[in-house]
Amino acid sequence: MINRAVISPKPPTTPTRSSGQSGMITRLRPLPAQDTELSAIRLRMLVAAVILLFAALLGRLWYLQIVQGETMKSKAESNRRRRVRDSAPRGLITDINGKMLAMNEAQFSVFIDPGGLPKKKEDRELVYQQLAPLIGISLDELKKTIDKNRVGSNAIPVAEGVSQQILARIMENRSRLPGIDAGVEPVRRYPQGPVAAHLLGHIAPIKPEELADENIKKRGYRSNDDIGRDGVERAHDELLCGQPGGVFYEIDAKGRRQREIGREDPTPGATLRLNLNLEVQKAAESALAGMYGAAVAIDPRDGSVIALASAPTFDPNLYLKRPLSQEEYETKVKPFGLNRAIQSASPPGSTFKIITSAAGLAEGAISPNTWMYCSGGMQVGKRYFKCHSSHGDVNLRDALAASCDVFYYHVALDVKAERVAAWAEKYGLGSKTGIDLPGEKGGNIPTPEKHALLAAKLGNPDTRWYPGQTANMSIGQGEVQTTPLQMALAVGAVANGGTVWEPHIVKEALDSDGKVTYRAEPKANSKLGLKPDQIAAIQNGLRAAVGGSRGTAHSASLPGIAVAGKTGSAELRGGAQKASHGWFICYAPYEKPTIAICIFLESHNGENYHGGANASPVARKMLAAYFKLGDAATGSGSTVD
Amino acid sequence: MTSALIAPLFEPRLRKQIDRALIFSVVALMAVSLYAIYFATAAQPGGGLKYALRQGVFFIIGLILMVVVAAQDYSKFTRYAPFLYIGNALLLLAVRVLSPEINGARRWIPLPIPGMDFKLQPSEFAKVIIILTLAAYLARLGPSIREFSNLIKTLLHVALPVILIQLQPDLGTSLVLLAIWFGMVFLAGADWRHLVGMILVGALLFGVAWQTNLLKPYQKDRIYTFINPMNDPKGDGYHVLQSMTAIGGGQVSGQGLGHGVQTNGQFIPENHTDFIFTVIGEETGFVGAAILLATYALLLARGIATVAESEDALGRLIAVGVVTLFAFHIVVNMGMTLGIMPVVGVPLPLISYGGSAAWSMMVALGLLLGIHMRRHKILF
Repeated sequence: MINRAVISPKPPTTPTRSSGQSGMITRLRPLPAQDTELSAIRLRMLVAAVILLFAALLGRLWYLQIVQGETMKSKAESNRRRRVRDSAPRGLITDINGKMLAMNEAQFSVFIDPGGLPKKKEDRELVYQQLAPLIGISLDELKKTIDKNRVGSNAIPVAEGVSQQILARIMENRSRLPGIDAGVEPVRRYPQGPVAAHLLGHIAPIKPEELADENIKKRGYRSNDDIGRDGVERAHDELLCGQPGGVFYEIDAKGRRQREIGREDPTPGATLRLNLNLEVQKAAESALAGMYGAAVAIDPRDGSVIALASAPTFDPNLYLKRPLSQEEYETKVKPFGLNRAIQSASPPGSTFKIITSAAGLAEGAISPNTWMYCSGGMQVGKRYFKCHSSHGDVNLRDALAASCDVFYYHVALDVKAERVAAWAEKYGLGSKTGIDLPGEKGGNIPTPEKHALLAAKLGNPDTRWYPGQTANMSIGQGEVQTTPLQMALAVGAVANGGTVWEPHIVKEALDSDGKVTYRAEPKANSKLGLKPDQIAAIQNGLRAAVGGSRGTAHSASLPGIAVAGKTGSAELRGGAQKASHGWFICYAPYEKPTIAICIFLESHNGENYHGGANASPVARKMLAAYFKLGDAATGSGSTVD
Repeated sequence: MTSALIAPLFEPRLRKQIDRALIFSVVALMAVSLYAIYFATAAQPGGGLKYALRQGVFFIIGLILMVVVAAQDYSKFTRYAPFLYIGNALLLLAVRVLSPEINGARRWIPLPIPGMDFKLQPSEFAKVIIILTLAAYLARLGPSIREFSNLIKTLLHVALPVILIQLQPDLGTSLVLLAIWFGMVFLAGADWRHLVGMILVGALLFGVAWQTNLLKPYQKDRIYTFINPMNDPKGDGYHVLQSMTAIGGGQVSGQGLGHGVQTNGQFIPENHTDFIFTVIGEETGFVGAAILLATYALLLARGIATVAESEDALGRLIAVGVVTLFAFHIVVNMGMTLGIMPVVGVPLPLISYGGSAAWSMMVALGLLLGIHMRRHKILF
C-alpha cells in the first residue's frame, strides 16, 4: 500500500518498494528519536509565534476600535462631509422712496474646489485640459487664473458670467470633472448708472489687509470675495454683507458630492433705505453736468442727506467689469473719483458771512439794528479792501442780502479773529461732520495761533497775524476752507434755529422680512445758542438775498415757495485772469424749512463762477425737484450778484 | 473520470477523517468574503453584485479544486516535483511576455474567457507549488538539513522563483515564499544558529539593496510610510490612514452592513482586494473583526493539529508550509490595514477578491485536508 518515499519519525520497518528512487534511498536515513522531540518543540515555537502575532492584531484592533474608536469615527464623518459656502446676497440700496440704487443680478460662474480635485498631478492636468475649452480659455490662461485666485482650500473662481449653455455642458460632464463646480452667483448692479456714484461707492475684491482685520473677517469674508469699497457700500458694509450660510454635502473619496446632508441658510444683507431723494439727486447732477463741483441737500430738521452730488461723475458699473483694463480705469474712473461734496475743501467766500454775522451778534459787536456805511471799500492796516459796490447805509439784513463786505470787515475786526474762528467751529466748519461715508475731509478754520505755528513750521520769519487776515476771514477768503457738506449743515443750522446736525446718508436698514434692524437717530454735533432775535436777523437777511430788492440770489427764487439763501464767490489768488469758485447756500420753505442746500462750483480750469449767476440756478433746480414744481418753475429767474 | 478523481473520499476509512472544522472555517470565510466584496464595490459604478458573483464562481471552482486535491494521496504530487518546479518557473517567466503592464507591474496571463476579463496570476500558484517541491526536497534531505550546505541548497530552491517574482515585481509574494521557506526548514530541523546567521545576512543584504537602489522607489516609500503614515497623508500614507480611520470608526459593533462611511465614500482604494479587511472592520466593528480572527485561528489550529498528528514527514512538511502560508497572509494583510505592517500586496486568504489567490489557497487547503485524512501511517 505504501508506495511513497517516506521519512518516518520511526525507522522504517520495511524497505521501500520504489526501485526508481534507489539513488535517494541512501539519503533517506532514519531520523533519530530526539528529532521527533525537536520537531515537536519547533512546532510549539511556531504556534507561539502565531499566537503572539494574532494577539498583536487583536490588541491593535482593540486600540483602534475601542480606545480610539470615537475619534476615528468622527474623523471618518468629517472626512465625508464638505461644507460648501452659500454666499449671502448683498443688501440692496434704495432711495427714500424705494427707488433702486444698488441691486443684484444673477450670473453663472464656474469654480474649482481644490479639495475635490484628483490627488494625482496627471489626473488634475486631465481635468484642466477638459475644462479649459469648455469655458473658452486656453490651458495656460486657466492655470494662471488658478494660481492667481488660489488661496488655501477656498473655491477658486475660474470663469464668471458664463452662458447657460456652458453651464449645462459643465453639469453634463460633471463625472469627468471632479472638483469642478458651477453655480449661480449674484453680481452687483447700479441701475442708475453714474447717478450718485460717489455716494454709493462700489464693491471690489477684498484686500489681504482687509482680510487681516478681525472686524471685517467676522463678517464671513474670504479671499476673492467682494467687499464694499467707497461710499455707502463701504461705510455700511457690515449691514449690507449679511452672513454666509453653508450646505453640507456627503462626498466620496474623489470629492464628488453624493447628497446634501444639511444646510445653514445664509442671512441676506440688509436693504438700506437712504435719506436720498433720487429726483433731487438727479436734478443736482444734471445741473452740474459739464462742471466741476458739488451739491449737497440736507434736511435741517434732522440732518438727513437728501442729495449729495459730485461732478464730474462716472459709472460705478465699470468697477464690476472684470477685468477692468488699466486704460479704462485711468480714463473713465480714476479722474472722477473725488467726491467734492465731502473731500474738497475750499474758501467758501461770502457764504461764510452767516458765521461772521452770528459772531458779531453773539459777541455783542452788532445788533440787528446796527447800521454801518459802505463807501465801496475800507482801509485795513496797510491795505485797502474793496467792496463789490458802494452799498451806502447797511444793516445786517442788507449786508447779507447785498453781500456787503465792508460791514463784515468792521464786525470781524471788532470781535477779533479768534472769536470768528470759534463761531466757525460752532457751525461745524473745519472739522469732519461725521457723515456715514468714508474719506471725508475736515477743511480748515484759521486762527492767529494756528497761523503762527504754520508760519514757523514753514520757516517764515513773519509769524504775525495781520488785521487784513481777519478781514479776509470775515468774508470766507484766505485760509478758510470748508466742504460743501459743512456749508449745507451750517445753513441748515440757520434754518432750524441753531442745531448743527450730524448728517446721515442711510435712513434705515431692513432685513428680509422688512423689519427695521437699524435706524439713524438724529444727533446734534453742536448748538449755536443764538437768541431767537439774533437767528431771526440772519434768516431775515438770507430771505432778503433771494426775495429782497437788493438781493444777490434772485435766480434761486421759486413761485409759491419762499427761499432764503446766500451767494458766495471765492476769488482765486495768483491767476492772471479773474477766477472764482461759485457758492450758494439756501433753505426752503423760509417759514418752515425742510431742505437746506449748498452748491459749490469749482474753478477747475480758471472759470469765473459766481454764486448768484452760476451756483444758485443749480439749487433752484434741486428745490424745484424737491417741491415737485415741474418744468415751468425750473426756468432761470433774474440774476443779480 | 470525475468520480475516479474523488473516489477516495468515499472510502469510509478516509471519509471519517475529513476535517469538518476546517471545512466549516473555509465556508464561513467564503461567506464573509462575498458580503465584504459586495459592499466594498457597491458604491463603484458597475460594482456590487458583479464582483460578488464572480467571486462566487471562483469559490465554486476553488471548492472543486480543493475536493479533488484532498482526494488525492499528496505524495502523488511530490512525485512530479521537478515538473511542477520547472513549470512554475516557466509560468513566472511567461508573464514577462504575456502580461499587460498594470501600475508598473507585469504579473498576469490574460485568459480568453468570453465575457470575462480574467487574468491568471501565476505567482499565486507559485506559493502552493513551492510548498510541494520544497517539502519533497526537505523530505529527501531528512536530518541532513542540519548541514549548512543543505540549508543553503533549500534556500537556492526558493531563490529562483523569488527572483522571477521580483522581476514582475511583486514584493509581497516574494516575502511569502521566504516565509514559507523559513517555516518549513525550521520545522524540518535546520540548525537555529544557521537560521539566525542567515537572518542577519539577510538584514545586511537588505541594507545593501536599499543603498544600491535595488528596491524600487515605491517600495522604499512604502517602508517610509509604514514608519510614519502622517509623513505624507495625501499620498502614500493615504491608504493606511484611511484604512485605520475606517476600521477604528467601526468601534465595538460596527456601523452596520452596507453602512460604512469610509467604505461607501470609497475612501480606501483597493478595498475589495488587499484592503478588504477595512470593510469588515468598519461595518462589523471589533466584534466582527474578532470573530474573523477566531475563524482564522480555527483554520490555523486545524493546520497545526495536522502537522502535529501527521506521522508522515512529507505530510508534516507540506502542512507546516500551508500553515505558514496562511499565517503570513493573515498577519501581514491585517497588520497592513491596521498600520502595524508595511503596505505589501498580499491578499487576505479566502476573503480578498481574486480567482488565482482563492484557487491557490484552496489547493493548499485541499492538501491540508488530504494530509489530515491520511495522518495515521498504519491504517487497518
